[in-house]
Amino acid sequence: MGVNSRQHGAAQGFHRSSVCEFMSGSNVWSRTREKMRLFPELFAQCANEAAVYGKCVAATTTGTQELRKDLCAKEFEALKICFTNAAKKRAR
Amino acid sequence: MSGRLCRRLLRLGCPASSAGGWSRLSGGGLNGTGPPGTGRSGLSGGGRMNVFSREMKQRQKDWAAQLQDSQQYDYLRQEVGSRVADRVYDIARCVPQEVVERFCLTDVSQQSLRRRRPSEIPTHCVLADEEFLPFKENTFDLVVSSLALHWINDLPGALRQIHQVLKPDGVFIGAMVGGETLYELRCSLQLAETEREGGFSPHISPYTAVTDLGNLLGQAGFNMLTVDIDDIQVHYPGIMEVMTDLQGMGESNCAWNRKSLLHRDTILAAAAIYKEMYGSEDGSIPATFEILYMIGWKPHESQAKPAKRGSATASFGDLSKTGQPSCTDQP
Repeated sequence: MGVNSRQHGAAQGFHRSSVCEFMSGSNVWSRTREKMRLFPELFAQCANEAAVYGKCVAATTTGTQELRKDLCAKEFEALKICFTNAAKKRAR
Repeated sequence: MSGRLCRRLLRLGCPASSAGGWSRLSGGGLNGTGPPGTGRSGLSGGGRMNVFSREMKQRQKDWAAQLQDSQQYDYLRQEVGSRVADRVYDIARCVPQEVVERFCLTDVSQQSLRRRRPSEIPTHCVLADEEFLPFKENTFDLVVSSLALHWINDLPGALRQIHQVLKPDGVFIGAMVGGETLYELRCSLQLAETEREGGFSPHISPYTAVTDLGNLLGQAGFNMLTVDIDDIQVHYPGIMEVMTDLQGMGESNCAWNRKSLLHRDTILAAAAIYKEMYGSEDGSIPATFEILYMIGWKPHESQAKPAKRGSATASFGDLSKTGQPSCTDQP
């Protein structure tokens, strides 16, 4: 029962400062980059949810309410669910 | 060939441009309340700032230069480069094509030097850090720097060195990225991180304010300064394209206090915020590059000096008389 390095890498965010590693064949960085390449396409399918979330956050810049953690959590959850579904559909 | 003095040109940073910047703006840089920065950062006791990791910048530039399709990221550099070239041609005494005898190109990245375009002017490529110029004093008639100064740690020192390697009556023409560059990206990431993670850390490197630039040039000993600003707005399909292009230009952040990880949720949130707050009608998002152009001369007796006090030959009061009809007959 060894450690599955693919799972470990995929769970992390996008690491932008790698220089040497991903140049040599497939590894966690190149796989992460590949996933990130799909981002625009998937994001485009959730335009409505993105706009709702964006408006919620943007409202804090003009109004009196100050932005704090999870202020727009509900809207973000909707966006994330839409995004994950789009990814699942794409993967099939 | 005309009977001029031999012309020597020094160019800092390769024709590809870089984004990011150096600044002492107190309000502009983000002060992270998130995870603490790694490595050295901030002011050391001797006053020498160490904001950027030059070694990291070299690696990033090397990587960007060896990309297969690196030309597609050159648009910003070419645009700024052509505007700098306009300024060079405007200065009547420098006519590069005919009288340049030696052209020195320096860069901290070897790959960028290899990638340079061939030119008819005899060129020397020097692998050098802009902060430690390996040239003797009074060597060059013209020093040009196009989008390279914003990754320098000790900008006052670098400007002083440029001043040193110039001959008297030599000129320095530079373009660097300034205060408002990428403010859309910066704000989107800041808001996204605050909402998703409860704090934020700097992802965009700090820049120089245009007001500081005049002081810096003056302190370095330059005369007859000219500083002006240009805004270049580039439209992208989305936030990922902005970041990919910045990386392809060799402009990834290399400040010591940068956070190396960007969570997927935060990217998603930032994409939504960027689009909502700054997106245009056709679905694209703008990214602003504020370019500061500067021209400075090394002092020389032949240069015009401010007139002495009391030597005026005309009065400001005369100004009010101009513009009025000089003929005496009234309608």
